[in-house]
Order: sequence, then structure tokens, then C-alpha cells
Amino acid sequence: MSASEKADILRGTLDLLVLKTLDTLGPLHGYGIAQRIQQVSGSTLSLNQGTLYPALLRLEQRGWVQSRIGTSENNRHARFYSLTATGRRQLKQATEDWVRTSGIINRILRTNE
Amino acid sequence: MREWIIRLIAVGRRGRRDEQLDDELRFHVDELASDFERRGLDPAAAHAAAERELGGVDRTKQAWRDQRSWLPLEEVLQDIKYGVRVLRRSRGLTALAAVMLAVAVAATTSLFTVVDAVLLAPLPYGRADQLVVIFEDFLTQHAPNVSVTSGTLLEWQDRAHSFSAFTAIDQRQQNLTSDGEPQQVNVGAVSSGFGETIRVQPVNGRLFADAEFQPGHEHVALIGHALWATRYGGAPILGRTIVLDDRPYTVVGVMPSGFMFPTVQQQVWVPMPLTAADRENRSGHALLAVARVRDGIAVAAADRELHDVAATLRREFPEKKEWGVTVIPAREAIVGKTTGVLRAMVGAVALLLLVACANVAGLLLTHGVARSRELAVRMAIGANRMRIVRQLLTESVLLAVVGALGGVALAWFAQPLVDALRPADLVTWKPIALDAPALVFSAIVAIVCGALFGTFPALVASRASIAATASERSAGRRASRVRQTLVAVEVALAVVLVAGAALLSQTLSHMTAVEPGFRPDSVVSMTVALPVARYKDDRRVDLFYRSVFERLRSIPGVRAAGAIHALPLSGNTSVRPYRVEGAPPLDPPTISHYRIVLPGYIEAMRIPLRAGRTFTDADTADRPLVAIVNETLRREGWGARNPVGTRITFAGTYAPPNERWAEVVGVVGDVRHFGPGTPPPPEMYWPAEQIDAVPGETLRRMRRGLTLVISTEAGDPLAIVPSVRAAVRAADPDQPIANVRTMTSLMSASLWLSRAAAWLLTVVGGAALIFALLGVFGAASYSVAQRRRELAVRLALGAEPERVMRLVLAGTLRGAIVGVGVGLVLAVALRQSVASMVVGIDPSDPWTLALVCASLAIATVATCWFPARHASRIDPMQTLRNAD
Repeated sequence: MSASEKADILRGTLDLLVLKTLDTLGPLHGYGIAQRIQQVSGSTLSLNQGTLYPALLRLEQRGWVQSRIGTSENNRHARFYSLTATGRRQLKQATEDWVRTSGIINRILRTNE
Repeated sequence: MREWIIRLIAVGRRGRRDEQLDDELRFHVDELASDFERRGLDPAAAHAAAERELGGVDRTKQAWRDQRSWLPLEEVLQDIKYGVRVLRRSRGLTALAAVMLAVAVAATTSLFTVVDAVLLAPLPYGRADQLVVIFEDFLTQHAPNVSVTSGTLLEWQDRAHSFSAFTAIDQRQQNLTSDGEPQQVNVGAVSSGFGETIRVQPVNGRLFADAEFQPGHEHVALIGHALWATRYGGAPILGRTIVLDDRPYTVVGVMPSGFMFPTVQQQVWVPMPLTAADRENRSGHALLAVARVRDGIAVAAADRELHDVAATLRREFPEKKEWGVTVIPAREAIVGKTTGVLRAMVGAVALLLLVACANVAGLLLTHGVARSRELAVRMAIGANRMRIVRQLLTESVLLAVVGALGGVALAWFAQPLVDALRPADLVTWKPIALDAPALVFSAIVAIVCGALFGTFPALVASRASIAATASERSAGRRASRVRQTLVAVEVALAVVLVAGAALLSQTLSHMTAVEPGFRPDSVVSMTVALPVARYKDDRRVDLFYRSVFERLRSIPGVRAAGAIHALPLSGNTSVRPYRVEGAPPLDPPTISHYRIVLPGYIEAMRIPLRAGRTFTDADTADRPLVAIVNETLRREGWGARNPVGTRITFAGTYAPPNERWAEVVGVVGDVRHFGPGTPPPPEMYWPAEQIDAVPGETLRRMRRGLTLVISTEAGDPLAIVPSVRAAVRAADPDQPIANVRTMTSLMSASLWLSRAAAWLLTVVGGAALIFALLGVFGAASYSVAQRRRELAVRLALGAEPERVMRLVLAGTLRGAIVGVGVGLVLAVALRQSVASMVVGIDPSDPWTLALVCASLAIATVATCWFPARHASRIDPMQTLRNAD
């Protein structure tokens, strides 16, 4: 699969993907989150992994995730991110919004066929 | 919201988190790289691929930092830090610029405190913008600001619908005799529209009820906060009875502190019922009228309506035939004469600020060029032009802030000076002080100035660095040209200010030299106000004064003593039409100012007697009427003839019954009644004891409230005051004296406005002159430094040192000469408007201006001399050898 056929991440959805990943896997470092998103998407998403870090900082500033220094699988210091209670609520809300919005868009696209 | 607070807090805090990001990203890349290695890439390729996958470590870091805090603000802080370093490195420049700015800001701020208190602070009334003061306009005599008659006021009130209320104030001085020492207080008797006009509630109690404006129910009073605090110690006072001029009044309220109506420290207000008789009074002008324009109606429209009403009254009433109306917005009516001078001062100080800015701009400009190499380097390593401009602007605003801090400090020290210059009768609505608005104002001035003098040099310097250091010299030449323009601007403004200062000082010395027509030294004045209840009978009034003056004249040290109803320089006057016997009655009749006096007044004031005699105690009510005229009236009424022995009388509705004429017994010198700036008016003097022959309640009232004038042999005339008080007490134990003033202090108060303006303009003009000369010096020195190599070559090739000097002088002097020329034109243009603001200026005198320009030109040449001579003494060998 060439790069041009990969879907770019929709604006604003990276936050949702990160929150979902942390919800599923629990505390995780940046590298882990990036790998997880790419695995699950079956390598169909082109994630510029660098954009993950400002996003993580933003989520932290909004109080949806928190971070602390921990030790990775291979015994290195790494920053682990985890979901906060507000983050969990936000994830629920954002998921519902997403499902509703994508449903509407899907319906519109179908009627136009 | 929360995100932004965190980001703002993060501004300028580069903490552990930033360092940890490095670790975090390194971890990410290492993990990715080892992943790639496992898939078979060699370590180097794997690492490169990992960085690619991340999208570049540095870009990620930058994006992360952008998210972390608010970048523009962070950059500004960086600029400030850097700016502080730059300013500290070039101490001389910083100090010089800061001092100039400090002086300018101090002048601006000090003046602002005055302007704020006089012109900007809100008047102590609700919706004061709707308030107007109304005068009657004596059309045929060109006297637009005459007090109002009660009848006219009532007609206005009935007919003009643009106003929601009219109120008339009758200002009286009455004796408060209850609760302690007798005290003369200002009493404002106000008519029924009072409450709606002022729209202010008392701090205690209530305003007057409608019923209290009915005759017989008016014995209630509102008292001023100051009187309440001083005389009653702020104790509960509602319902208490106070005695004013022997009549009891029940206090119903206390007005808020700072409330004035009108602008004297009016300490008590009482209702003034207007009766049917008052409605018929259309020629006794005694009231001050204030009205409120109805909501939603423009003041101009209300003004027009009232003029129409006045036109109708002219047709309906014979007494109103020659009368119109003048409507003045309240603030203008109150601060009127100060506004013009204040505006002129604001203009002067603004010019000084401009000179300082131009000067600092010149300094920064050359400083910027000197730094062009540094700036070029910064641009080469990636700073864009905007960033450089912003950096330079930040530096200049910083400089301005330093200057402003110094300025505020200076202004603080100058505060006693401002107080000293402040006249006693300046009406302000808040204290003149360095308060929050003044500080905010100086902060704004600082920032605007910083931007003003920073922008231009920043643009020039940043453009210079684009051209890079290779063309440093051409950049220098451009800066030189710009600087000469700045010099021209500075010199022009300095010419304007110095010319203005010279003009005002000259005017002031003229005015000080003007003969007032009396001798003010060793003369003291004070007022008495005899209560009408006790002194209903005119003979009792005469007795009181006779008994007081008999005692006064026997006090050792008293040279002469008399009294007058409208003291010169007090601002009060009275005017009536008059007729000379034998002359045909004129239409309109000629008018003269008149003074009711007691014998001894002319002697006490040492007004020169030109012909005939002065009044004596023998000029009593039962003797033939006598009058004295001044020289102006003699000229107007008699021409070349001698008036002594001829007869004179009041004319028209004011004429005494039965054709009673007064014999002119004397002619005295003119007195500058309205101060040195106004020509003396025609005046006649009448003995108080004979004034009953003339109709008018006003005259009767005036003679109950005379100003005693006592001339002493030598020394401080105030020393006599206790004896005077004792003499008055002996005649009537309940009678206080008030408004004790020496004539000397009245004289200096009458010159206050001109003196303050001249003083301020001299300081401002002097500062501007120094700044401009500094600018000239700086520009000349800079141009010498810039052309050092060129001048050295010229000298080496055999140019005469004088020629080199001339070369240098010519360059800088061109700017200065253009400046003098422009300044001259501006000064001439401004003279007329200054002349209209300050009384007594003669704007046609060309010599002052010529002198100012000549001295400025000489000063400029002298200033340029030193750099020029330095240029002519350059050692060519050394200069060329050291050239880099």
C-alpha cells in the first residue's frame, strides 16, 4: 500500500483515538500509543507520530489525561499517560458524538449514490 | 479556559518538563529504530527511518512548545530580557534618553493632574451634561452675561418646553448665630426647580418639598457637608433649628461632601419662594439661573427655543426691549476662563513631548546604525525583519517605561509646585493629585512615545541590516539625513515654545507694570453682611457703619478706612444707565458702573483725586445728593468740559423719583476694576447713606453687605484684623466679618492665570531649547564620526581646516535653519490663538519673535562649533591608519 492511499487522520479525531487507546490499554507511553493506533488501523492510517506529543500535552492541559514517569518493558524511563475521570467522561461524550455524526454522514452519502 | 490559564502560566517557565521531552522523544525514536532494526535495517538507516516516521525531532519539539505556552508572549518576554541587556550596555544613551523623557513625562503628568481635576472630573450633579447656566444678554450694551431677573426667569419657565427644570439662586452672605461663634456663611436661596436641576440626594435627610417653596413655609435649610463637619462635628442635625440673620430654619438635610451649587463653598441652601411681586420684577438683575435640558433634547435646540422666547419677551415687555439670552453649558460656565489657558498649556506640553521623542528617535537611530552589524548577524541566522523591528520597538518602549517612571517620580516631587501655582478660586471637583488616572495616563504616554520614537529608527535600522554590513556607510548616510530632519523638527518646535514663553513673560511683565489705579500695599479688606431682619431700617444700617468707622479711625496705625459694595478685583460689579444733566437722553442710554461707598474709601485705596473733593461724613441722607466720577466716565460723559458742579443721575427705569439729580463733586483716577488685562470701566461713586434716594431693593441689599477697606500706616495689614473684629463686635455683638484679604494678595491672584501660564511655558520652552540643542549637538557629532575617514582624506589632501569646519557646520545647520524657518511660521500662526486665550497679549509685536530666532540661531551655531572644530583637528594619518 503506497503512502498516498493511506487516510489522513481527520482533524480532531486524534484526541479521540488517543483517549480510546488509553481507555482500552490503561497507562501507556507515547511510543506505545502510536504503535497501538497504527496496529489497530491495520496500517491504513498515516500517523505523523510527532503530532502525538503536542496532542498528549493538550489533553493533559485540558485535564483529560495525566502523566507520570515510569519504567518501560526494557527498563528505560518513560512518561506514562493515563485517562482521568474527566477524560473518561469526555471519551464517552466524544464517542457518542462521533457515532452520531458519522451515522448522519453515512446516510447522506448513501442517499446520494 | 483551563488550557489557556495553564498555557499563560507556562509562559517564560522552561522547566524540567521541557528537558524530559527530550528523553521522551529519544525513547520514542530508539524504540522505533530498534523496531526497524529487527525488520532488517542497519542501525544508521533504522535511526534515520525512525526520525522520519516521527516527522523530525526538532519540529515535534517546536510543535510541543507551541502547545505548551503562548508563543508570542514568550517571545515578547525574550525581547524584553534582551532589551534590558542592550539598554544596560549603552548606559550613556539610556540615561540621556531617559532623563529627557522623564522631564517631558513629568510635565505631561503634572498638567494632566490639573486637567483631570478641572476639565475631566465629573461635575457633582446627575447628568451634568444637561445642565446649562443662563444669563440675560444686555444686547445694546454688549454685556452678554448679566444676572437674571425673577420675572424673566418665571416667563422662561412658563414658555420654554425644552427644559425639565429651571432654578434661580440668590447668593447671600448671612450670619449664622446659633450654636457658637457668629459666622458668616454663604447661603444659596434656591427656587422651586432645585431638586430636579441638581439631581443629587442629600447624604442625610431630604431635599425641599414642593410646599416649602410657598411663601411662609420656607424656613427649612439644607447644609453643606463641610459646614456640618466643622461647625457641628458631624453630629446628628436633622430637625435642629439654626439661626440665619436672626431667622430660624429647620435643617432637613445634609448635602454630600464635594457638592457645590453654584461653585462657591455654598454652605447652606434655603428655599426661595417666588411671588406675584417677583413675577413683575423684570429689571432687578440679581439671580443666577441654572436649568436642566429635558431628556432627549439637544442643548443647542434648547438654546434656540430660549432665544425665541427671549424674542417674544422683547415684543411683550417694554423693560425687556433691549434684552436677549445667553445659554452656556454648565462646565464651560464654571471653568470658562481657565479652559483656554489649560488648552494652551496642554498644547505646549504636547510639543515638549514631541521634541523629547524626536530627540530620542535621533539617538536611537544612530544607535541602531551602530548596531547594524549585530542586527545583520541576527538576520543571517534566521530572524525575520518583523522580529528585528519588534525587538527594537520593545527596546524603545522599555526606554519609554524607564523615562515614564522617572517622570512620575519627578511629577511627584513637583506636586507642591503645582499646588503653589494653584489659585485659591480654581474650581476643581477632585483633588489635584498623582492618582490612578494620572498614573494610567503616564503609562499610556510612555507606551505611545515608545512606539512613536521607536518605529522609525527600527524600520531604518532593520532595512540597513538587510543591505548588510557591506553598505554600512550608505545606511549611515541615510540615518544622517533622517537625523537632520529630526533636528529640523526639534528646532521648529523649540522656536514655537520659546517664542510662546517669551510672549507670555513679556505680557506678564507688561501686566505687572500696569498701574492698578490704587495702592494695594498695607490695605486689607473684609466683608460684613447685615441681616435684613435686624437692619430693616436704613438708618440702623447707617448707624452701624458710623459706629464701626468711628472706632476704626481711632485705632492707632489705621491710616484711612472706608467701604465699598464691589471691591476692585473681586469680580463683582454693578452697572446702570446714566444721564448727564443737559445732555439729550440717548437710546440706548449710555451705561456706567457704579459703586456704593462709605467716606474714606478713596483715601484708603489711595485713588488719586483729580478735581473737586471726596465724600465726607457730612454727605448724609438729608443733604443734597453727591457723586464722584472717574476719568473714563468724565471723558465719556463730559468730553473736555469740567464735570465738577454739573449734575448726573441714573436713567430709564432706574431714575430716582422727582427728577433727583446728584451733583458731581469730584473726579478720581481710573481703577482697573477687572484686573490689569482689562481696561478700566467708566465708574461713578455714590455715598451709601444717600443711595436710598434711588429705587431698587438691590441697592438696599448691597449697602447692607459692604466690603470694609482699611489702609494701615505700615507693616502687615493683617495685624489690624483683630481690632477691626472688635470694632464690629462693639457695634453689634452678633456680627462676624469674613473674606479677609489683603489687596496685595488680590492683585497677585488676578495675575495668577497669566503668571502660571508664563511660568509653565518658560520651563517647557527652556527644556525644549535644551533638548533641541542636544539634538543639534548629537547630529553634528554623529555626522563627524560618520565622515571621519572622508574628512581625514580631505585634510590629508591639503584641505584647509576652516573648510572642513564649514563642511561639517553646513550639514547640520541646514536642518537647524529649516527648523527655525518652519518654527517662525508656526509661531506666528499660533500667536493669534494664544492671544485669544490669555488676556492682555499683544500679538503684533515682531521684536520678541526676531529676538527668539536670532538667539536660537546663535545657540545652534555655538552648539555645532565643538564637533566642527573637532572635525578640523582630526589627525589624518592616525585616522586612516586605524580605519578598519
